[in-house]
Amino acid sequence: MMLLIGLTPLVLLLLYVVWLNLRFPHIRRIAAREALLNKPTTLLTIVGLSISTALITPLLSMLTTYSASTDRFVREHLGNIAYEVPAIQQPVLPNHYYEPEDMRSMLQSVSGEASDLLPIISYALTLSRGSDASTERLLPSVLVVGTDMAQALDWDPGLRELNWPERLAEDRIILSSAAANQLNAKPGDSVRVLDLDNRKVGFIVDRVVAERGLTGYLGVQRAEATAIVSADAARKLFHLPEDTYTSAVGSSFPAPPWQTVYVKEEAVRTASDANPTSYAAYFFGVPIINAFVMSIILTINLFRLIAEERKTGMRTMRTLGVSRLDLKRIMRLEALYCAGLACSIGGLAGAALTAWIVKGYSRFFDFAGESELLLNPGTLIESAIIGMSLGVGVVFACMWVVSQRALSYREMGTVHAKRRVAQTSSGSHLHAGLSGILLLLVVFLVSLTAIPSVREAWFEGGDFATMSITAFLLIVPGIGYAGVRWLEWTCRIALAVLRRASGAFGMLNLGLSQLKANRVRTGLLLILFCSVSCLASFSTVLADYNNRLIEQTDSRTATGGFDYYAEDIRVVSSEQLLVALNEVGFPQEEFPQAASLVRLPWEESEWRGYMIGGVDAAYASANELPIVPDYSGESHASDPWMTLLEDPDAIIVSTGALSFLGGWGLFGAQEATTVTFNVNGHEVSKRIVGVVDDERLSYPAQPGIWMNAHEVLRLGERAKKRHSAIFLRFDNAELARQWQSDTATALARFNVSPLNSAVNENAGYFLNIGLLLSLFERFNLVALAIGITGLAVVTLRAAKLRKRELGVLRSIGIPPRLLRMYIWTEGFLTGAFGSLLGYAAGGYFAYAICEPQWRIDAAGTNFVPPTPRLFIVLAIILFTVAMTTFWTARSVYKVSPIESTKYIPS
Amino acid sequence: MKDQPVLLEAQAVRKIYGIGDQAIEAVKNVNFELRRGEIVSIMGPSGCGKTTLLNCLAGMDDVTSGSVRMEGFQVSGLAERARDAFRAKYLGFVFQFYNLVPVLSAVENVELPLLCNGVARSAARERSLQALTRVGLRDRANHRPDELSGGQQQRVALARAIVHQPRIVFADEPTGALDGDSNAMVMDLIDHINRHDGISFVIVTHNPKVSGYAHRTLYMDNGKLISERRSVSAEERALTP
Repeated sequence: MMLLIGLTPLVLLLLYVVWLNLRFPHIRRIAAREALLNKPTTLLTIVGLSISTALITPLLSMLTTYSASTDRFVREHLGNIAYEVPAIQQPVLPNHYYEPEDMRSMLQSVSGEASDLLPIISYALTLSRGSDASTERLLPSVLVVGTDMAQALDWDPGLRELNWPERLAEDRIILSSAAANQLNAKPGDSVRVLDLDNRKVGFIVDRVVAERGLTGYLGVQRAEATAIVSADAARKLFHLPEDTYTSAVGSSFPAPPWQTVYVKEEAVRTASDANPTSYAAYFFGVPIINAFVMSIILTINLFRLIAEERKTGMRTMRTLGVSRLDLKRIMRLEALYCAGLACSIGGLAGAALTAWIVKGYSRFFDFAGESELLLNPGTLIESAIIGMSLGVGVVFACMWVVSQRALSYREMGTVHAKRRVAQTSSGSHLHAGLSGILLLLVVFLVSLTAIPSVREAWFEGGDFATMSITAFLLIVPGIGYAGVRWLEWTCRIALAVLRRASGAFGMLNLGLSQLKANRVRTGLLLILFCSVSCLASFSTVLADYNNRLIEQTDSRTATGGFDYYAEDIRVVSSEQLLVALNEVGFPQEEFPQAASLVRLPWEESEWRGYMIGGVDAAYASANELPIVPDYSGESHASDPWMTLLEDPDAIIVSTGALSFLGGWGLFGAQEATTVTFNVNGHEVSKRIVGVVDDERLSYPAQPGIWMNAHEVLRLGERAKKRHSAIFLRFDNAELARQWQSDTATALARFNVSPLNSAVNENAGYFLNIGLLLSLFERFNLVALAIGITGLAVVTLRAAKLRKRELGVLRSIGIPPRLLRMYIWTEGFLTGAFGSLLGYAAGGYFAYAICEPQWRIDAAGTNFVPPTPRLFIVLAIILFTVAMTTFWTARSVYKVSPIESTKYIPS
Repeated sequence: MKDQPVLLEAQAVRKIYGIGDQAIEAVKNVNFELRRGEIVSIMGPSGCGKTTLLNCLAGMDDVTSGSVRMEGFQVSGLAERARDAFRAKYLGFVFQFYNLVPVLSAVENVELPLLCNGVARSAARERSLQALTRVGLRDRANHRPDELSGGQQQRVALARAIVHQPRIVFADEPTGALDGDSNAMVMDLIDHINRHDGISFVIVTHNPKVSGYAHRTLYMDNGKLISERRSVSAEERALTP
C-alpha cells in the first residue's frame, strides 16, 4: 500500500514529462538547453537534491523494515499463539506442572474453544551435536517443546504445510530451521539434549521444519530456537510424571484464577520498546526531516533566483506571443530533468545508506528475536522508489509554486521596470526593535542560566525530549528572524573596524547591502544553517554526557558487584558452579569469583516482589551489596554475611524489606532485633544482623531478605518457584569481556543459559542512546552538506544574475579579487553566522540541561562539555562554508567589463 | 581644440570575434584621436561596431591588432589587472541604463570606485557628496536607485563617472533611456563638466541632439569610421570662455 501511494507522484510526473517532451518539442529544447547551459549550478543542484533524497530514504526504509521485521517475527515465532498459561505461574497449583485434572479444569474455563489451547511440556535446554569437544556444536537455550502430535494438528491445521507428522517416536526430534542451521544438522543426524540432570539424551533428527507458530515458538523464556519432541520424551527429559504438562499455548485464555501470559502482546511491545528503532525514528527522523525541509527551502530559493535571472528573456518571449503557461512548462520541465537525475542518484545512495545503517545497527545493538531488523532487496527497492518519488514530487511542487508567482500577470504584464515608491521605515524599525529585544533576552537568559542554582531550578528532573524540542522550536525560528538584524549589526561593527581598509570596506558594505535587500532569503538561509548546526552541537554535548554517565556508573553495583549472572530453575550450588567453570580452563589468577544464590519469591510481599536469598560461603564472601551502617555509625560489611553462615536465625534485610517488616525501629538497637514474619505460609522468627541499601539495586540483585542457604531450602522445599541465581565476577572489565564466550559455553554444558552481562543489562539502554546520539550528530553534519551545497548554488546563481552589475563594477576599475570578496562575503556571512549561532545555542542549551542532572547523578564532580571537540567541529563547519563559497565566488573572474554594455535590463 | 594635446590615440585598431569561417570583424582598421577637453560623439546604425570600438578605446576589451595609447602610454596589450587599475584611475563610464548597484544608495554608488582605489572612507564620502551636489542630487544621496527617476539615476551614474577626476569619460548612449527634458539635463551637465573640469568625453549615440554637444562627430558603418563632422556650435563654444 505504501509503495502504491509512494509511486503515484513518480508515475504521474513521468507521464507529465513524457507528454511535455512529445507534445512540445520546443519547450523540451529550451528546458534542456537551459539546464545544460549552466553546468556547475545544475551539477550542484543535483548534488544537493541527491543528498536530501538519500537522507529521506533510510527513514522510510527503517520504518518499513521495522514493520516488516515485527510482522515476520510474529508470523514465525508466534503464529496463532497469543497466550501462554504456564503452570509455574498458577497460584492454585502446588507444582510446576499440570496434573491431568488441573489441565482439564483450566481448559474448561477457556472463553473460546478448549481446543484453542494446546497443552505442552516445555523447558529451555541445551542441545549439542558432535562427538568430542573439538567438533562439538553447542546450542544453549533451545525451547524443547513436547506435545501430542495429532492434537497439535487439530489445534493448528496449518502445521500440515510444515510436514508435521501425526506421530513422533520418543527418540526422534524435530528441529526448527534456526536450530538446525546452528547445529549444522539435517534429518538423520544425531543430536543430544541435556536434560535437567545434565545428562545427554540422544535423539535422531526426524525432520527440519520452517519456523511458523509452534515450530518457532520461543516461550516466555525467550529461547534462541525451538525443537519438538513427543510429549513422553519431554516428560522424561524434565522428570515429570505421566500425563502432566508444564503449560498451554494458543489463541484463547482461561478465566481467573488461572493466570495468563500475553505472549504476543509482550513480544510486539518489546519490539517497539526495547528496539531503538522506535525511538531511533526521532534520532534519524529529526535530522532527516530537517534536511528535507532545508532542501525545500533551498530549492525554492534557487528557483526564485532562476526566475529572476530569466525575467527579461521571459518578458521578451511573452511579447513574441509565448503563453505564460508555456513559460511555466519550461521551468517545470527543467526542474524535473534535474530532479529526475538527482532523485535517482539519491534513491540509490539512500538504499546503500539504509543497508549500511541496518547492518551496522544490528551489529551495534546486537539484536535478535523480535528486535532484529531485517533487510531484504524488496524493502530497499521499495524505500528507494518512495524516496525518489517524494524527492521528485517536492521539487516539482517547489517549482510549481515559484513559476506560478514568477509568471503571474502582475510580474509578466509589463516590459519596462516600474519605479518603486520608497518603503516606509516603520515596519523596518519594528523588526529592528524586536530583534534588539530578542538579543537582550538572549543575553539575559544566558547570563541567568550561567548561575548553577538557576539551571538546577529550571532543568533538573525535566524531560530531556520535551525540553530539547521546545528549545529547538524557539531557538531556530528566533535566530532566523532576529539573526538577520544581528548579522547586519555585526557587519556594521566590522565596517567600523575596517574603515581604513577602503577596498574591503566597500565590498563588505556591498555584501551587507545585498543581505539587507534580501532579508527573507537571508533569514531562511540562517534558519537552515542554524537548525543543523544546533542539532549537531546539541547531540555532541548530550552524547558526551551520556558516555561520561556510563563511565561514572559501575554497572556491577546494581548486581551486587558481579559482571555476569544467569538464572536456573534448578537449585545449583556454588560447588556445582565451580565444577562447571573448571572446564573453561581459566589460569589461576584469572579465575572468576562465582557464587550461586538459591532464591525464593516472598509471596507475602505481593506487588513488591521481594526475594528470599539463600547465602552460602561463596556468596557471602563474594558479594558487594552495600551494608547500611548501624545506629552507631559503624559498618561491618563482611560480618553480617558471615553471621548468616553460622546462624540459621540471622537475616539481612534490604531497606525496603525492613520498612515492610515494621520499620527502622527493628534495627539499630544495641542488640540485633528479632522479628517474626511469614515466609510463604511459614511463620518464622529471625534476627536482623544487617541492612542492605537497596536504592541502587536492580535486577537481578533483587531486594528482600537474605538468610542461610539451608534455611531457604528448608522453607522452600516444596515451593515451585524456587530457583538459583548465579553470579560471576572477574578482576576487571577487560578480563570479563575476554572470557565471556568461553564461560557462557561452559555454563551451557550445564544447562545454565543465557549468561547475561551486568553492563548490558544496566547500561545497555544508555549505550544505545549514546550510539544513537553519535549517529544523530553525524547525520546532522551530512545534512549540513545540503545547506552548503545550496549556498554554493545560490552564490553561483547570484553571480550569474548580477553579471551586468559585476561587469559595470569591472568596467569602473574594481578588480576581480575585490568582486570575489563581495560575492564571497555575502554567502559566507550568512552560512557562517547561522552555523555559529546555531552551534553555540545548541551546545550551550545541552550543557544547561545536562549539568544540573550530572551533579545529582555523579555527585562531587563537574560536568564539563567536550569543548575541544565542539571547537574543532565548528571550525571545520566554518572552514567548509568559507571554502565552498570562496570557490564558487571565483565565477566572477569570468565576468568581463564588456558585460556592462551588453544586456538590456528588466 | 586643435591646439590641445592628444589625450587618446588609436591606430589601426581591429577587433575580430571568433575564428576561421565564424570570424566577425567588428572594428576594421580604425584610427581615432581625442584631445584634452574634447567631446567626441560616435554615431552609426545598430551593429556597426560603435560599442565595440568604445570597449576597445576604454580598455574594457583588448584589440586584435593595432594600438590604443593614452598620453603616450600603451593601453592595448596591458594585462587585465593593469587595465582594471588604469580604468579605475583615468577613466569614467556612463551607460545607457545607468547600471547603478541596486542595493546601494546614491552616495554609496558614487563612492564605490574611490573606496576600491584606496581612498579613505571619510574622504570618499566627502568627495561623493560633492559630486552629487554637482549633478544636483545632494538631497537624494541616501536614496536607492529604484527610488529615483531615470534622469536622476543617470545623473548619479554621471557623478560616479567623474568623482575620481578621470581624464576621459566614456558614455554609451547616456540618454538612450531618457525623455527629452532629462536628456537635455544630462547633456547640459556633461557639457558643464567638460568646460569646467576639462574632462574629455567619448559618447556613443543615435541622437543628433546629443551629438550636437560634441566638438566632433564621427560616423561609423560596418566597423569603419567613414566620416567626421565638426560641430558649428561646438566651435562657437570653443571661442566662448
